[in-house]
Amino acid sequence: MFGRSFRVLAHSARPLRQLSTEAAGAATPAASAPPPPPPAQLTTPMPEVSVREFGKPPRRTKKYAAQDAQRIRQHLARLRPRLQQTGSVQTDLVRPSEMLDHESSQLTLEAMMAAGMHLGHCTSLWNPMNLRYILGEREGIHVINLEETLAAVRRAAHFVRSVAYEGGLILFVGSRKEHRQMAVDAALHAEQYFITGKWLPGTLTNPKPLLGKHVTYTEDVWDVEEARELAEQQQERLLVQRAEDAVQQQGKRRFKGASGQQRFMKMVEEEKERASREADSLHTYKPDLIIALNPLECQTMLAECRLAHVPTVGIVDTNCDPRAVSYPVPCNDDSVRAVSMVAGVLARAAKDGLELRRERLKKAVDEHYRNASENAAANALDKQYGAAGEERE
Amino acid sequence: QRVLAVAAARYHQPAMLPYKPENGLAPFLSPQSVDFLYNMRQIELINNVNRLSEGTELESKTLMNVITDSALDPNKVPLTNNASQAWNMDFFLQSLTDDPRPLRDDVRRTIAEHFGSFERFQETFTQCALALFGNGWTWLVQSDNGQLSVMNTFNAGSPFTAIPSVKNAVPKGASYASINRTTSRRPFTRLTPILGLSMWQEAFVPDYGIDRETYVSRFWDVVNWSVVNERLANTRSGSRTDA
Repeated sequence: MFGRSFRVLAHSARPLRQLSTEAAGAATPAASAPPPPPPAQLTTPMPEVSVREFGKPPRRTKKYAAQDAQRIRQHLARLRPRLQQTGSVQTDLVRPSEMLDHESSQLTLEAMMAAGMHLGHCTSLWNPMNLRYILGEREGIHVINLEETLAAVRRAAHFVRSVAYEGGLILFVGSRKEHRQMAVDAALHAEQYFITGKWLPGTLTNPKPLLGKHVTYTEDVWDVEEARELAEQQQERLLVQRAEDAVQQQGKRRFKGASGQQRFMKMVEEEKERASREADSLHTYKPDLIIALNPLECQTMLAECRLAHVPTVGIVDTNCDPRAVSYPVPCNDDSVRAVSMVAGVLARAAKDGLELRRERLKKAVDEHYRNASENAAANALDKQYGAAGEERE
Repeated sequence: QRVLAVAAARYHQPAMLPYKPENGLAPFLSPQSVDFLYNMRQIELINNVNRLSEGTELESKTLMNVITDSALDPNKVPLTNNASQAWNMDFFLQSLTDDPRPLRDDVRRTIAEHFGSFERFQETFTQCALALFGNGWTWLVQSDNGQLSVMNTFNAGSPFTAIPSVKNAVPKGASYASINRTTSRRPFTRLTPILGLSMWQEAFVPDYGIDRETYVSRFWDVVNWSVVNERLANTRSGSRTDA
């Protein structure tokens, strides 16, 4: 690269020398000798700017200025994400202390203390209704009695398990930023539901204007798939029953002149239409249990639960009123690890309840089919030999 | 799986190189040199970044974001230095190749447009690299308006945080809309690095000793020009090829 520019210099130098010697008219031996080599230097001289290397550069006119600017902007905007990925490769990190799968039996007093569950708030900020949960005072804060916490967690876990066992709908509510992912993880672990944003006031007491117009894409999922057929058969039977009742009450008045059979068929059609309309319409469900990870900030929600008769479980700190929830769990709400432990225990309890429920339902369905097949076999045998039996008798 | 946008903790690891570090980068760096830079130095830097960003709000961010966010905080100087050096090292190693091809015409043309000729750019770059006293990096950067320039950063300096933004750049009679423009709120002038050369002693002393000129001249033999071409914006007006 530097050799090339040297050649250029040497090339342009030669004609000048020859001209000068010709002008002088004297052919000295020094003129024909090659030019002396340049002195050795650490740095090489700056090479000539050669405009002729690629022809004249195009003139930058105003016409192209905006295009240029936009093209450069777009290119740099495309390049920057790739530069962001330079430097290192990132992978997700899993921290076992933040994972939510604790059994209530794994909860020990030492683990709870390590998570900081015993640290209450400043003594001047306490709520006196918490007196029974407080062990004492140290360094200006109240210390929560972890034995009470343990008992309360076990009580709440038992309740959550029974609600899940009965097929209840559990809602995990975590509105603080640190609790959001925890609420989501707990809900997904237990196959239940979560709220992480703001609780819309009136969700339970005034649902129609708030939830009535939402378009949702939901799918009804059966706890046990094998029970689907039986449930559908039962629904059909209910439909027919309702039609019969309706015919008895209003049939003669509504369908004058039609025969009994026609009246019945018309009512069955009406019931079917109503059932399909209900199936297509929006379903709103009231939760059977709400688990609040920070009840201090959700007083509206807890007041609505009291009005709508929804039981609640909540993590109450020394400055919270424990009467706001049905099953208070006295614990430090500022420690992320403490809340994650409690949420983990409750999520595991809900999951256990759901699994027990599934076992029970599966057993019931299997038994039903077994009985049905036995009965069918027995009926078949009766049919075969019944007449003979009756004749014999 | 994470459902919400709540950031999960992330862990940095050295990125894969397009060549085997054990084979080295002839004639620029010997296998021992590349092995030291990548398998020992880069891993040490990345581990330091992981250790220093763990538990803070920067633990899930990419390395570039870690650099720009921690550069303003004087308490986070070790984190900034380690992250910046790790990014610079990876950028430098990714720009090299063990299968050198001749210089591409489009790269030569684009650079010649800014520097007069490609040789002049090489000379400028070399002089800047040799002028660096102490450890540092020499960069070819492109600014937001497409202007290419050669720049030095010292020790573990990053081109992203090298130049603070000119706060008085808003002209007189600015409108209400221009007051809220993000350029005035950005702490650093935005520069996009195109090519980088490590002038740290750890890079050239094992192979070249005190002879930095040969080190820089051999650098040009192993630059991966296709990668450089991807990074360069084509600034020729009226050109049909899209950048």
